[in-house]
Amino acid sequence: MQDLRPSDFAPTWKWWLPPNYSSFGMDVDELYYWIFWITTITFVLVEGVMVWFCFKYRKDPARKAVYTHGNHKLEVAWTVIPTVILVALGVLSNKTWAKIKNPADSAYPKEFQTTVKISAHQFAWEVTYPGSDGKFDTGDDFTKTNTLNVPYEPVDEQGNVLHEENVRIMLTAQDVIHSFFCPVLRLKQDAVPGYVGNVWFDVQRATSKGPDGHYFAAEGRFSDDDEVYEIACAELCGLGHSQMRMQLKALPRVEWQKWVDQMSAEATKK
Amino acid sequence: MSTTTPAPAATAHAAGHAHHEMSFLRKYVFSTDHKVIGLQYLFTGLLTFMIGGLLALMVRWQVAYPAGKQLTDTEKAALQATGLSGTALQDAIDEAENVPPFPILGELLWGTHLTPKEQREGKATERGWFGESNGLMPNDWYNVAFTMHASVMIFLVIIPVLTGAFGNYIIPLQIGAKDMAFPFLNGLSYWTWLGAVLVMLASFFVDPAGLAAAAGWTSYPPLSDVVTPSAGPGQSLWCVGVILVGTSSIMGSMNYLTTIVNLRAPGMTLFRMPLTTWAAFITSILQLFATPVISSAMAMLLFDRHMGTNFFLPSGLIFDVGGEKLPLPRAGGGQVILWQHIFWFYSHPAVYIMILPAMGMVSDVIAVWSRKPIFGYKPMVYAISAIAGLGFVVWGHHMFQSGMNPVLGTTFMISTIMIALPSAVKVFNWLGTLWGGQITFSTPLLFALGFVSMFVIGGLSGIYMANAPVDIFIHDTYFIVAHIHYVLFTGSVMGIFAGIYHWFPKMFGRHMCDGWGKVHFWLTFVFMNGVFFPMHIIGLGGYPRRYASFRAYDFLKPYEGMNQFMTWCAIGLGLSQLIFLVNFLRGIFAGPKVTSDNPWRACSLEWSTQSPPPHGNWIGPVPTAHHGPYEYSRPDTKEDFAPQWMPMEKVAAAPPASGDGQEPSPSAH
Repeated sequence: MQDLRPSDFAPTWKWWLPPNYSSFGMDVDELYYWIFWITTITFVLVEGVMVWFCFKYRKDPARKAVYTHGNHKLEVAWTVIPTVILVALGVLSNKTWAKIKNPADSAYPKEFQTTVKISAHQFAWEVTYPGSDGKFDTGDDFTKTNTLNVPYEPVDEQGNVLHEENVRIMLTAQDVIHSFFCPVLRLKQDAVPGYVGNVWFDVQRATSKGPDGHYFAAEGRFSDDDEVYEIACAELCGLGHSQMRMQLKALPRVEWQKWVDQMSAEATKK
Repeated sequence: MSTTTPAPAATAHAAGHAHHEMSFLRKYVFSTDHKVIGLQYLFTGLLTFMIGGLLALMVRWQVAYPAGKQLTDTEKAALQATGLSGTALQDAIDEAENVPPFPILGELLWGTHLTPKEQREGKATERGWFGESNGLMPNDWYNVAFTMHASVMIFLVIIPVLTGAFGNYIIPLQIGAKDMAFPFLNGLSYWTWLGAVLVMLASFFVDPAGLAAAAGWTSYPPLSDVVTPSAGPGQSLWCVGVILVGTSSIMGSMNYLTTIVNLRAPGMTLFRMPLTTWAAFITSILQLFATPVISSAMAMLLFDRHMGTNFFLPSGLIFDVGGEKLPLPRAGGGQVILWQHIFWFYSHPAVYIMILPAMGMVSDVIAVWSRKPIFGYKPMVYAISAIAGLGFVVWGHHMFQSGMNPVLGTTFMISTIMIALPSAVKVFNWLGTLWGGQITFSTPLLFALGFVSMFVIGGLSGIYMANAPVDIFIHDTYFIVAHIHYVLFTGSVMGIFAGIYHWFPKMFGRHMCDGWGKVHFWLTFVFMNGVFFPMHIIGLGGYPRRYASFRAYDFLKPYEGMNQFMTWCAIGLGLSQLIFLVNFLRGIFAGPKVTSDNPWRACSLEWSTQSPPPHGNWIGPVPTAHHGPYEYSRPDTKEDFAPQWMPMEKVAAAPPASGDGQEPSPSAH
């Protein structure tokens, strides 16, 4: 029998988290559901008690109010119990945080199969690919605006990764701060001028079905029709902030390589 | 009355006070009386509240009805399927694609609005004050609207009303002081702040028309730092405004601290102070330590903008101007993220500056109206102190995704989680205070209960953002907008209303109408949840904040209806405040006069003097505090309260004066 997780009790209505297609996104969602259930239960208890007290202790001349200045044991209890729960939650979540963001952490990927450079400006994303040779600053590099194509990471029915496809982005900005936000990957990272920040992800569901045919056929409200994942700017960057949209396509490695080779050839010709 | 009016023995002192004849200007305008200054803050704050509210409605309108609506082919086909064709079909499409302008103001500011059909017919238009964009808000002005909404609400409404109005009015009365320690400084603090109001609002009248600060209230450089030709001096005026607010805050907090430390009445030990004063005390410490930091940040930003320094500008910035790539002619060498550290080092404590005083007031209101001593008075004081202390070490949670060292993310996650705990302790103690009480559901209590129940939502939603990995997803989405409004609107603003309704008889010697107060409460309660709760849901869907339009994104389109619902709730919320406005003004000029100085039968010292209190607060010497401020329902007294200013033996022997018979009366007898 599989262990029960808080996400197993997730509400199944339309207005909820977008589908998730990255490996670490599942961990993020799992934490979200832990917090969701802890806070929901707390909320119901606190509000329930408040409403009950309001009803039970409404003004009644036949009764005198209880004269008390508090209870030491209660104070200790309701300080210590939430402390234990919340600090434990914080310590446990750190694993996921470090895996996504901390290069010094052991769970952070050792190897990146793909690296691209993204430079954000008002109001577009310039994506530079290393080209066929996989090296930057060579003649076959090419740059695309608002188009991020990466190989997807195939997984089997049980969720085991068939072969790793970690994508690294060297992220910076030319003018003001922007932020790379891809809801279906649960990923956000500010693009800061004067500084190149690394951020990584994998995409476990292809936007187009490749010859090897593997991807999660997850039901989602996003992108299933036009088959692109949307990337938005999440840090106010001026009057075109809400127009700064990039399209992410996750292709099978073979198709992706074909596209890269074609673009590299064009770039070299120039 | 008899117990609250001091014996005529004290007339010598009273004469000393009553005899400086003051001109109207000295007495009511350039006053040094803390009560007059408090009311000046209150009235100005309510005025700016209306401006901030109007800006909020304009923001909401833009989010729900952004320009550029186009029907999809499926929607057009659906219209066609209803049997329309030819011009009738075109009219129907036009009708559906028409985006309504903001009522009244839209056309005044941005010119005549034409529907798609009228546009095609080439109808004549008229320019608006801010230019011509078919009566619809342009994107750059949307940025102005949310920037100024937040700035007005934070710097010109919540901080000054909580600390300036209530802090000023209530602290000296509750500790038994004749006035503040530095009355002149107190007046100066108000006038400095009024300068900030004028400077900030003046930025709407600069050239280009109406383009005030537009880089968000957080004003992250380089966006706020680089002076582009298209933007006017709005951002610089904003910086000056914030510096003035800061200066005023520093003067005010220094004054409150000195007053509370030095001017307490005989017997008023620190642990006999009501929680309103305790909260104001701790808030003042926060303000005194945090505010100089933001003032210096603003000065640095101003230097960057106008004097060629590069505190926040790295080298090699390139701006796209009209398709041309222009390198910024600046040496650079600065750090973009430096601003965020400095800014949040103030602005996170500022969040507590904006909630702690409300927590204090709500504590007093709950104790009075449930006739109970505060449950866990000392834990409440320690919780306030813990929130303030931890408040200084959590600023980095605003920067989880900024690119700072991820190890710092871990540190700030743990400290931020810790700060939830004292807040939880406060909520539990409020519940404990209600337990076993004699609860009268007056308007002030309803607002206080509204505060507690809604603060729970704001507090719990904070846990999501404190968790760094979860924050990766919800950072800069509407989830955070929901959180901050649950803390600041349904929290602080509810606290402000509770305070106004509760202390109104003391301030004006008259009563507001309790019935209309309740109507005001329920409408506010329902509408504010209608506005702010769905923000959690769209945030969970990944809806980014500060988006002028959702139309570029497929994943945002499903939220159009929900956004419109929130906007209409916001309009309802705005209109509900008119009930308060009328009730408040009517109360001041024509409300029924109080017949007792202590209509709520409360224990703390402010209720021992006349309503409104005279110049010098007490005719004669200040009262003595004989015991704690929450001696309600003692088993050994006949009445259900033992005022702080009466020794316990005297309370037992001669019951204190009762309420004035005005509804609602919290008396159990």
